[in-house]
Amino acid sequence: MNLSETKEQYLNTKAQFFLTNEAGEIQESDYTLFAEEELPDTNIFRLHPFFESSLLALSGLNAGESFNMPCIHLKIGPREGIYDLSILKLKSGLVFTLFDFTDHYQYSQSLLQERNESIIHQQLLEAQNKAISLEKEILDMKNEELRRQQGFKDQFLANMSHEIRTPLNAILGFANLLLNTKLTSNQVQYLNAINMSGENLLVIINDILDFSKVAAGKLNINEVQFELSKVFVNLRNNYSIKALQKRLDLRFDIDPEIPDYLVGDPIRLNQILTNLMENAFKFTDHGTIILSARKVQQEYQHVTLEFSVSDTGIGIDSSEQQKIFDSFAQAHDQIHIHYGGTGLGLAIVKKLVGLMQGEIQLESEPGKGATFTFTVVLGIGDNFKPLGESTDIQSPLQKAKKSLKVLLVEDVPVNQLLAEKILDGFGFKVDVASDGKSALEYLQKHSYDLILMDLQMPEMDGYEATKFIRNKIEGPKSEIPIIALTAHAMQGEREQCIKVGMNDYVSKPFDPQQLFEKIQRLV
Amino acid sequence: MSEVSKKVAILGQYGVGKSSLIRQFVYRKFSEKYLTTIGVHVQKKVLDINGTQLAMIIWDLEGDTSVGKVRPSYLMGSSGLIYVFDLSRPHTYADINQEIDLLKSEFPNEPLKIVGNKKDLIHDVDLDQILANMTISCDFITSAKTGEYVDEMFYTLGEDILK
Ligand SMILES: Nc1nc2c(ncn2[C@@H]2O[C@H](COP(=O)(O)OP(=O)(O)O)[C@@H](O)[C@H]2O)c(=O)[nH]1
Ligand SMILES: [Mg+2]
Repeated sequence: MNLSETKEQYLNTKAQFFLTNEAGEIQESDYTLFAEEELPDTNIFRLHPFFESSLLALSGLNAGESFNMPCIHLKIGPREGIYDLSILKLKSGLVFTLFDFTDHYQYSQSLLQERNESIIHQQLLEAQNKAISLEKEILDMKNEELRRQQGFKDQFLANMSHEIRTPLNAILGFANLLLNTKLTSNQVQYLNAINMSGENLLVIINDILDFSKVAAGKLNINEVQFELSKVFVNLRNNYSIKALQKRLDLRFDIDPEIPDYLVGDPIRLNQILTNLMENAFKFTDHGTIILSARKVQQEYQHVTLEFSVSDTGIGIDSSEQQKIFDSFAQAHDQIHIHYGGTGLGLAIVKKLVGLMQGEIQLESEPGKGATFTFTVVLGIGDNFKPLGESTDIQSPLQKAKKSLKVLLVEDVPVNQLLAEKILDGFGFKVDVASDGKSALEYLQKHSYDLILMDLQMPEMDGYEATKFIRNKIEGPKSEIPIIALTAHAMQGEREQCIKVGMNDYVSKPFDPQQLFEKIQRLV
Repeated sequence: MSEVSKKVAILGQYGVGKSSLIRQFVYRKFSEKYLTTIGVHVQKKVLDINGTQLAMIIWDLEGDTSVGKVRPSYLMGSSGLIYVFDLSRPHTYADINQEIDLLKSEFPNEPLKIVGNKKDLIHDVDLDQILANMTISCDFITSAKTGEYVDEMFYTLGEDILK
């Protein structure tokens, strides 16, 4: 077999010719691929839509011209395959040549398929990644917007509460000033009402501000070194007057084992204690309020303290005990009626305690009182010193080495009571005069080591009384040390005091410690 | 009743759903499986367009990255063109402007439908975004899967061809 025979044999089995007239009627064929009896029609244009549409292309051809179409899928009769086609236009007819390349094309199809699939896959991945990064961008933008809004809200609340607090402080300040002037008992009553409402409003505003911070997760706990004894002194100062007014017994029961120098947030700790104390005072009309603190556990650098505030007030129903720490939950029920305010105070307290790694609990029996107990974990400060060695909270001030005789000149009964109690605590003997005139009378009859002199008083004020003592009285009594007690640090007040001959000056409400030190220095 | 035969060629990159659109239109079938078209598949469907029987002979061409690479003989004798892109693959319409310009310059008198396919894979919001970002106007948004707007697209082309 020679090469041309081989070639012919190969081609013969793979190719077929059709000779048709111009209308496509088959006139001659070798029927190698498609057997004559298998053909469904004698017109080639009706064998397959492919031929039908190629008729449309043929009009553009001249006699002797041909065109080629590779890779055409054809199913004619039972036979199906992939063919290359050429169509030659004759003067009076057409020649169709079909080459069967099914095997070859099936092989390339699989390669193409593989390539296309991997590229499509790649493109889809890219599109997905793009979508994801776009989504992330949008999310970032939304978050940014949210943060902006939250920031705006916080700022707004902060501004608002500042704006409200400023005039409110003025109202409270002036109400206090008014209280120190000559008033009828009705007027005193009204002013007290103004004062109380104002203070309640202040608490509410602070609560709302704090709560918005809690909600935004922005309530922070500081880590600073502080002296726990100062927190207690402060509370004692604030609440002893209240206790006197309500004729309640106020006790501080502090474990001397607690280190005094601690690390934490004294302001927030004070806030918690103040909140609990306020509640205790609000619901207790008779009996005792006890603030106690004890050390539960001490590790290398941390100490767990347990504080409790217990009262002998109206107590809280067990059904209400569940809800009492929820924010707003009590807005419409009994608790709100009892507790008033925003109903946020205890929710904030709970949050703060949580932030200090502690827990808060309530024990109460209706009618007998309530005890709130909470723990906090605090750092131990550098200056290790147990509380017991510093200020004794039970009687926060050192007893004087020698008992002094003090004349207190003060017109407002509540202030008289408070000062008396404090001076009593120092171990001093106290006489009380309610204005300058009666002070002079006391001074004539008795001798004193010291005078505490209020400035604004009816009849004869503190300045006049002092001038009289320094200038009109003879002998050692004219040199008696006088400390001025002033309600508000007015400009020039201090100079005025010194000018008329007073020795020193403390502003009310005074820090007992400071007063004690000033007395020690003078006497 | 008159009958006319017209050739329509469907173009666009591989995998955009050309074969699927034809299968949906001619056989009302859809398959998720992708079978790359090699060469040419020719299908026929007779459409009744206002009383005229239009034998639409659809040439399903092997997808390629560019219209310029399509064998010219494949397009010979065609009366209408469809250009398909895949809404879910930006690569398939990144150069759509050039592609369409090329087709319009080669076949200035042939009706052409620009088709965004695989609508079922795209959110309405994203779809608006995609269309807004294209500088070319799309004639049909189809889904070969659900059949949405497939008939409309072929029939409208048929009407345009007969005009
Ligand atoms: N979800 C969805 N998939 C489609 C659609 N059209 C085609 N596909 C899928 O896309 C792939 C490619 O389709 P095919 O028709 O072969 O694309 P061609 O290469 O352009 O002919 C196949 O897996 C199809 O199942 C559609 O409208 N929706
Ligand atoms: Mg295909």
